[in-house]
Amino acid sequence: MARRLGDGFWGDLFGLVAAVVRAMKVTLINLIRRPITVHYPDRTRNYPDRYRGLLALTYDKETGEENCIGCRLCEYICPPQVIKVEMLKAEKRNFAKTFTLELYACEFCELCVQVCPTDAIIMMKSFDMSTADRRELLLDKDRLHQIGLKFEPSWATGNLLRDMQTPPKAAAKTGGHAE
Amino acid sequence: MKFALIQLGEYAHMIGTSFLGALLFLGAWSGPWADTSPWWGALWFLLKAMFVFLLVTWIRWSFVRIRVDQILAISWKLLLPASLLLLMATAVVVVLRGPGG
Repeated sequence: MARRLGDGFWGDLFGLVAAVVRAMKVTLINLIRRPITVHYPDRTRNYPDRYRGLLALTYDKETGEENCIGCRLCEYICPPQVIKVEMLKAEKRNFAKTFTLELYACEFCELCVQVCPTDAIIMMKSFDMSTADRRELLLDKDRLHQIGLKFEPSWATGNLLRDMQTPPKAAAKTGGHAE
Repeated sequence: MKFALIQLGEYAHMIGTSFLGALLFLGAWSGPWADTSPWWGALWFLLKAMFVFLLVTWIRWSFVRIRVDQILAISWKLLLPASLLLLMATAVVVVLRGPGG
């Protein structure tokens, strides 16, 4: 729509008037319409259905035990290496003695969620962790469990994601073409 | 603080200009019921000045940062001849209709 001068005097004048009217119409519409932004802490927007935000640790819903077995798979796969786990050996199963997650360096790639064999670390449907102090984002095991209880979990857990990504073996065997 | 003072001065300039524009071009305090009470005159003057102020700010929102060569070309090649044309047209109208009125 950008016009340059060069259509003669009357053509240029008409183009200038049209451009002025167009630009002022845009600003007038923006003066009248309601703002798009919301006052965040008082009012929140709904997150999208598949939102995956904060990381958290979960409890087993039936027994109430921690799900994490301290296997350190998340620590090994984490690209920015923000997860540190120490394993605690026990009789029936193992636990995480410590579990720290440096959220300020996390890149939210979800790889730790995807490898977790017990659905212990999951992502939350929330991002409400803004703070003025970076040290508050160094999450230990207790705080990760708190986050897991405080926010709504997102739909994806490690086992769900792995089920989606494995190829359908049975269907490929029975329904394959004879080639 | 320096920036705030300069900005404040600029807006004071705009408000003063809009009051002056309302006074010179829009009839200042005259309006309906203006002769019944002085408050009506003050209200009309204020409303007219705020309307001119809205026009000024509206133009400021619409045309932020026009390129210097473009504004020069528009001013010299279009706006100045257009205003000369308007001046001549006004002269013709005044001659035909006679002065006053």
